Amino acid sequence: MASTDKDRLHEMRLALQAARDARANLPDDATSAQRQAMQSEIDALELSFFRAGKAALDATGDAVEQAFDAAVAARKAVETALAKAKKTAEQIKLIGKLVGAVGNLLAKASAL
Amino acid sequence: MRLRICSALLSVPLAMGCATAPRGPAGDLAQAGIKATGALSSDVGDLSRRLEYADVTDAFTRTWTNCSPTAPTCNPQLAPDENYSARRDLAKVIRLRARALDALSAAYSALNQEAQYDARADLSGAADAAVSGVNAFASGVARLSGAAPGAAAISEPLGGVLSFGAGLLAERNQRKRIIVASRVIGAATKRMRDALQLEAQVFEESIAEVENERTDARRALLSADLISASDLLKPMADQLSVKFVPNADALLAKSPRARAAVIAAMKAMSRAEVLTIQNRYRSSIAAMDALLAAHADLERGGPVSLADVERTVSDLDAALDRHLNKGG
Repeated sequence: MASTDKDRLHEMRLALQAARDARANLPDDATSAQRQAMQSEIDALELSFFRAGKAALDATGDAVEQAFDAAVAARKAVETALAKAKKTAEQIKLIGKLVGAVGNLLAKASAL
Repeated sequence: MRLRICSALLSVPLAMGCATAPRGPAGDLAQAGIKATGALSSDVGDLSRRLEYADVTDAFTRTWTNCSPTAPTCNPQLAPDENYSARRDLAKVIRLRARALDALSAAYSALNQEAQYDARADLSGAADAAVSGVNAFASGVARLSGAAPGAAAISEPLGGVLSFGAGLLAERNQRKRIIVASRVIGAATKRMRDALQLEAQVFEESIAEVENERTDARRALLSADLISASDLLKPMADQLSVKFVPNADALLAKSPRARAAVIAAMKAMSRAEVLTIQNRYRSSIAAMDALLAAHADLERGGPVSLADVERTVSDLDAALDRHLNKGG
């Protein structure tokens, strides 16, 4: 079933929440650089979320659905990495991919 | 004499009939309007404060989590300007919503005064202020919602009293004044309702996001040992009709399992809070719909049914009371 504009905005918020959860669970040995890197990705996700609110995420087509599925998969990968307590570096890498997937969803879903 | 007045009235471009002024139904409608706008306004004020405070909670959380516990120094950190501006834009629209509701409430008060006494209220001024307030809110929503379908329709400003026939509000005939006022105030209420509807999706997700930030801040405060875990769990203990043992916080602090359970309960409470806010928002739109139906009843000259307004406002009041009793 095709995703709706509501599903897409909701998914963008879940992506932000997943990244925030990862930040809240950073181990004590995470370096300052790693913490800042994660924060930068969270800030990028938050901006995408607010921009998505201003855009009509109502474009349709295979490219949009693929972008939506990719964003869901990227968010689940972040959640799984957190649940399995993967290394901080790996979590940051996955959140970076999530930022890319969410940005792509925003671009595809709001394209006229 | 009465017949002559009636035939003169037939020439006005409004289907007003020749009956006496519907003071009773207009008063009832106005009072329902005051109640509905009052309930919505309390809700909006609370949300606006939360949104405006989100930057403060974010500053604490980001500084606490981004400074390494082993680092010798740590710099305070604030959200980047772009993120800060995006949040402020949302808070601004919520403030405009509060102002529009206050202006609508004043218009319903003027209608109520007109209906209760022979003395004339400043219906024209109050109705114009309601239209201006709602136009400002709708324009803010249209800017916030950008390309959303329906944004264009609400960004076209609603005409003021003049476009409804300002002269009629200056009429000596009270029935005509009441019906014209109902039309102007009803049009403002309809625009408010449409703007709320357009804003709903963005607003619901945004408020959920703000609530997540609040949960993160509580979590950071807990992690910094600045707040009591048992205080966070108090709503749950109250719900279960139990009391914590005196050393509950010490027990919670040394057990990773207990701390994880505290965080899980906190997140679940936050999820329930988001659902409550979203339900209140839907009740607000339902209250506006019920008010609009009552306006139509009044203008048709039939009995005004306010049962739906009463029900939706009491749903809204109950939800708001529950929320405020929890400490909001």
